[in-house]
Amino acid sequence: MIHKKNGITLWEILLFTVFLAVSIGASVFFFFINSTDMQKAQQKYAWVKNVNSVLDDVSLEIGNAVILSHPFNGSSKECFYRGASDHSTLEPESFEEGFIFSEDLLYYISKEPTSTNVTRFGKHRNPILVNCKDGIFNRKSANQIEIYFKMNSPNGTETDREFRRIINLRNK
Amino acid sequence: MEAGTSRSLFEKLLYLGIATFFLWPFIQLYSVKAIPIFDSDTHLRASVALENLMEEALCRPYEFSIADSKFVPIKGYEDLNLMGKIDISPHPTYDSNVLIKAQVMWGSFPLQKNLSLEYIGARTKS
Repeated sequence: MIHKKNGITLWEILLFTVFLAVSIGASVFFFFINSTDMQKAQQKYAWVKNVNSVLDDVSLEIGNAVILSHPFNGSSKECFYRGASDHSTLEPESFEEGFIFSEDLLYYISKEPTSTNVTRFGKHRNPILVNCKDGIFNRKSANQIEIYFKMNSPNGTETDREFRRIINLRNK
Repeated sequence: MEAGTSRSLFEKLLYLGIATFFLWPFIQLYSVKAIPIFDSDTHLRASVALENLMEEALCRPYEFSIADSKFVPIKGYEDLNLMGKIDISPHPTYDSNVLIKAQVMWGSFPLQKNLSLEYIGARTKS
């Protein structure tokens, strides 16, 4: 059975409509990706990721500490511990390291008998975090400590974002 | 085929099958990986929740035979409907070790996401 083809058929119209819809959708999508909202979201993502990477390092350091001397119980703005040295030996007792929340900043410090040094913490420069509010170290149990603080994102997209890490003290 | 007659049910099912075959890998990809432009923040929060869950699991004395535990909502993540669970089981090959597995899950089928973390612990505490 042979049909005489006259003009545009229904299938062709449908196909054309589908392609048109896809192309409009794609262009809307690319505009969306380029928008300031999306850029702000990406900046926020980078910021949160950076804070979390600092927290990862802090957690690793505290988790592997040989002795966590402060806070012994309850909560404190400071946390002091004796780290392990490279050869699985203890540092001298007079040498202590720690993290302190001070004036919305988180510092890494090392205490020696004669001085308190504000040195680098691994790849992070002091203060290792800026603008962290209500920062606290909370000793939840003998082998568990929690870090908690709030931060505002630098571009103002998010306020009072909570960061909370629970650390298992492995050398308890 | 005659013009004007519609497809049979079998053919429709066949199309559905082919479409599913093509799309399923993408759905699986979605379920394991964050698409950074859509879901990055959720993913980050979930991964932090997962780490916290694992640390809590490591803190408590090992309780055996809590394999196949149920997913329970995680406190503080109610807005994501984040569920988490911890499985502790004897290591399949090494008798002296336990396998600790923490898992978080959010979203609903088929756009569901899972993250898991495993840790091997020595079986010194019993």
